[in-house]
Amino acid sequence: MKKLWQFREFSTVVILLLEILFFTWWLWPEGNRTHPFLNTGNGLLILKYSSIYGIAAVGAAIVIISGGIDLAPGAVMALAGVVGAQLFVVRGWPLAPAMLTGVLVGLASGLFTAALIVLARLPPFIATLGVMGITRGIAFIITEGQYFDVSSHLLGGWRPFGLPADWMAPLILVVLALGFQVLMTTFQWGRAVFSVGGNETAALFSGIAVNRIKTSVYVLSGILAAISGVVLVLVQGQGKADLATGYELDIIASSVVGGASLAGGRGSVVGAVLGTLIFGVLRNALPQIPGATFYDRLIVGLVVIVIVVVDQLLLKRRA
Amino acid sequence: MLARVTTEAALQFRQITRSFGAVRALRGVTFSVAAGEAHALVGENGAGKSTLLKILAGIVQPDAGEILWHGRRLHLDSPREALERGIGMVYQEMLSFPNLSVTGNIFAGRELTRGGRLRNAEMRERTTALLAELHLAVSPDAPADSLSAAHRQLLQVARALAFECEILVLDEPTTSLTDAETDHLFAVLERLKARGVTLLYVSHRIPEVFRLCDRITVLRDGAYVDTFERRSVSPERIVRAMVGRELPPRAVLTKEQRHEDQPPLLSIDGLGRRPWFNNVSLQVHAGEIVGLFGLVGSGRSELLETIFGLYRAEAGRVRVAGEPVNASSPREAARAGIALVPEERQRQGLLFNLTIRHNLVLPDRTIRGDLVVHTARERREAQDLVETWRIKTAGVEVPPDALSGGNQQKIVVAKWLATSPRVLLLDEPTKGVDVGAKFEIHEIIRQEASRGAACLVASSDLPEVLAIADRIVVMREGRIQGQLAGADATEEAVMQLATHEIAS
Amino acid sequence: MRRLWMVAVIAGLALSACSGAKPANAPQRLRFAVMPKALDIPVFNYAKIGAERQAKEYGDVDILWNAPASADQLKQKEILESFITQRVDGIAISSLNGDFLTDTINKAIDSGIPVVTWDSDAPKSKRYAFYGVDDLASGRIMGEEAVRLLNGKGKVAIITSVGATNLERRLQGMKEGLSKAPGIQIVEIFDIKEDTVRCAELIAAGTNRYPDLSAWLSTGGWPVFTRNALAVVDPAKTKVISFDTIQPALDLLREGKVNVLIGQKYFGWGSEAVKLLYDIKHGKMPASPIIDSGVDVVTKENVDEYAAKWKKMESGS
Repeated sequence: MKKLWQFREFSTVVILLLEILFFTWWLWPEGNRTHPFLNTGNGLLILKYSSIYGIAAVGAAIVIISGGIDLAPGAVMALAGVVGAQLFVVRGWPLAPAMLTGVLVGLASGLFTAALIVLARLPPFIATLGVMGITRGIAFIITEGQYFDVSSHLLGGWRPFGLPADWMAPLILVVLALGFQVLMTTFQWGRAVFSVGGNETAALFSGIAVNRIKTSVYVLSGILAAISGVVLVLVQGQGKADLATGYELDIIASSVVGGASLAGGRGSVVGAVLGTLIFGVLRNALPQIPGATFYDRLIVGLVVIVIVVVDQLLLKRRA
Repeated sequence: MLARVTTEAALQFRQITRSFGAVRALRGVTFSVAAGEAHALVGENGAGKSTLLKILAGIVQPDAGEILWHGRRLHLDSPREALERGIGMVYQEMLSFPNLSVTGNIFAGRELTRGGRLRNAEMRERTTALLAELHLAVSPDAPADSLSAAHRQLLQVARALAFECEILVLDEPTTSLTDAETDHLFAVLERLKARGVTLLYVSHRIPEVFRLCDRITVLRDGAYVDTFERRSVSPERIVRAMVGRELPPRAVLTKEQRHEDQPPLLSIDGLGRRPWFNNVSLQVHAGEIVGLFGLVGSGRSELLETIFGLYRAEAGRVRVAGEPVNASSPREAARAGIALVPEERQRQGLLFNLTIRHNLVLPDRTIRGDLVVHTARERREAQDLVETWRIKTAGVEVPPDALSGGNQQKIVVAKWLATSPRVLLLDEPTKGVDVGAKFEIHEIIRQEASRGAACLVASSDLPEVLAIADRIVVMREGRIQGQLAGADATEEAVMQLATHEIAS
Repeated sequence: MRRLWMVAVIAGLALSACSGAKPANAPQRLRFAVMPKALDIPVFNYAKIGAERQAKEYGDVDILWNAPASADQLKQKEILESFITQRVDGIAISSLNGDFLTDTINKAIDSGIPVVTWDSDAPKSKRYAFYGVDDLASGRIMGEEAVRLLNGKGKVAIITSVGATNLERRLQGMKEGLSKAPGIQIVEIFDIKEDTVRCAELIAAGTNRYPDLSAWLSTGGWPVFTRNALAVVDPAKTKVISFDTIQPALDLLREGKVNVLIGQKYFGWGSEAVKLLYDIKHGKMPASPIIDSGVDVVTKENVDEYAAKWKKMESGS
């Protein structure tokens, strides 16, 4: 049986804790003022915004584990959010059906992606790049550059399922992350995903329905990205076409930091979610250091490289 | 003309010890190779030969012990260093760069440059000279993937020879070579011997070892057993030293045991898929082992892969127990009771990102369509399989990358046997596997046959086919040339069919 | 391997325990968040200089300068929210969309963080004060200048970015100023979404479409932030009146490619906003909620004088 510290997720948790400790120390306030970083309001904020990346990262991680890659999450988030917002604000649909339709958009996008990859045999990088352009383009066409103001249509003090709105995203994330982690580790389907990612040829030779697995992961990625987009629109109050631009790289980086290998066959859902938290903390805490504004991209890049390098070294040692 | 064999040791291994986790691959191995001799290193899989070679090549570091090269301690940190010391390695696995030319392959990683620019003309010249010396009729500009597998193997030899080397280390070089190509290689090696190059030759093929080498060192279970003078030892003695026990005589089944009175379990009619094979018809009864023999390019692998559903046949039918099977994926074929042990275990048979347990239970669980993974149950089943098939491993919860080739092959075979297939297809099941494991795998196949499975074994290893098959079907260039059984199945007869056109 | 991790964890805990050994251990420094619309709008860099200089003068103020990398209303809201939970001592912000940020600004004020706006206001919020130009008046000035240069007749095209309150008001003022001359016709209003590159594209497209255009008016400095945006415009045929005097605007003015520039108090955005926050923290409320910074009208005649004043402000007066 694996010991606790042998799980890759353990290292990610440690990195996250170290990061939090570091910023707690560095940003310690004088006197008896409240800590700018280590307080419940700030913690909740970090969770809220990281969750939006996190939900999409669950899907992206599964795709990466299967040996593929998805560049479209950001664009799908935007399109799903825009569709949901438009139905709700312009056409006056009730909230739930409008947002559900947004999620269906993600399903459609995922199916289309899967068709490109499985039927037309396009490399995933190219296929999802194309889907990224198409979905983002449709979002722009629908909105014609305008945005839909969702917040003004929501009743003030709106409480989804009877909870404060700010808790919605983290809650959905936790449920999805745990659910998919279980799915990936204790169900045959999850193991099949790891097999396809580890060695697609050998998986095929072992009787795994490779095409079916590939289709399922891209459809999942589409649906999860759409959920994330809908949540983003609800949390932030605006549905517009340039939502989530550039998110895909952060999402992929989170998965990698969380233990996924871009070659496939390795990684975990929980790890990817922890990865988004690591970046979320960074994005929140860095601007509090005077003069550090322009460094966050640089530091994010360095963090990714360092973690990946250490990962490789540890893997080599084991072999 | 025999080379001058001096008693001076060129290469000495002293107490070399190395473990991988809990597996002790080498335990204090000590022996020496004399300058200018051809020295063979033989042993079962798991005996430690590959590990020893990796240490010599600088890829792996020993935990203890040392290597002496002309009496001086050798400290190798990288393959490049080994090369610079004059140790040339020729590998078993095909390590060529398919996208580069022959010249590019020979000089890959060690290109000749002048101030950073490639000296293409000079490299090409040296390549041409090298090819001529080796009697290899290929162009130095030919892309490597246009070469046959056999030529690619010789390319590996050329690569090792491109730079001055005092000792040439060959790891199973004749695995993919025909007899003719083996002769060619041996001619080259003899010439090198005459030049004074020391040879360290690792192989499972005892006849070859006896043909080429002066002395033979045997390893078993990571330990040194003995070194024999070729002139004063017999092949059986060597095999006994390798295996540590007497091998049982091979059983011959009676007609009844071969179920020939019943309709065939596997029936193939007019199967064709251009350009690989055409109009192939054959039958295998329950309990029968049919050997499918053919040289490189005969279409054997493609035939097996088509039966297994990896490809769609263009013509013809496959029937299992009388029912037509139209498998369009391995999944469907497996559900119909057909199992394939593929040719390249690393690329096609094993998942290195998952544990041995996962690998062993995967086909069975996939066919059964289970939803949930029951870890405890799987672990038990995997451990049973490991015990039954004597797979040497530290446990089932580790990935299979630390295992020797033969043990890896056993995993690939075992995982399919766990599904109790009706039809067992095997493609080169003992390629790159040592004598002891080879016999074990043959026993495994016989057991399956006696349990009622129809076995079809494709192989280019003639002695193997002769040893194991009840009936031999010979293929050449995609067509069945003929069938031989019983006393008719002699080496000459089989080779005749495999290499010559039959006047129809 | 696990030992390594345990050591690291212990080290981290130890670090957090000796918080007293932190570098800047000065007593009660004030942390002011100064937020421009986006980090990639060059005109706001001067606000940063002004703010940081004012902070240095005070000696106990740290400036946290942050904004989305490029104009994104949602991201600006996100950053504003994080400054609230990080409990900064004051916020000075130029909003991309004042109405959108109104609720968040109010949340900040309700939690005890004073907020002032600069350059672009959020008028419906509870912000303590706004420091900036009177956009309506400035726009009117531009319209009037256009009327003067064109002698009351001709076709004009307007460049703006839809969304920001201040630009809306400048646009409105422009229209008012232009309406005084019935012979002036506004052929099109271009929305360039705060994107300088898009601005250049649209000027080229517009010049093509309206060959007899008499003037370009711009509510923001995008046409004059680069040399080549106005390259296609023929100064003999078409006049250019633009907001902002950031280089190379002054050079373009000297070369005759631009006729009138409206200069804002760029350094003042930073320094005055910081002053306001500092005073509020020390109990002194702003004199009025709207503080008109005034504008500079720069033409070929007074450009050199203007440039000299600028140099002085940049180097530190």
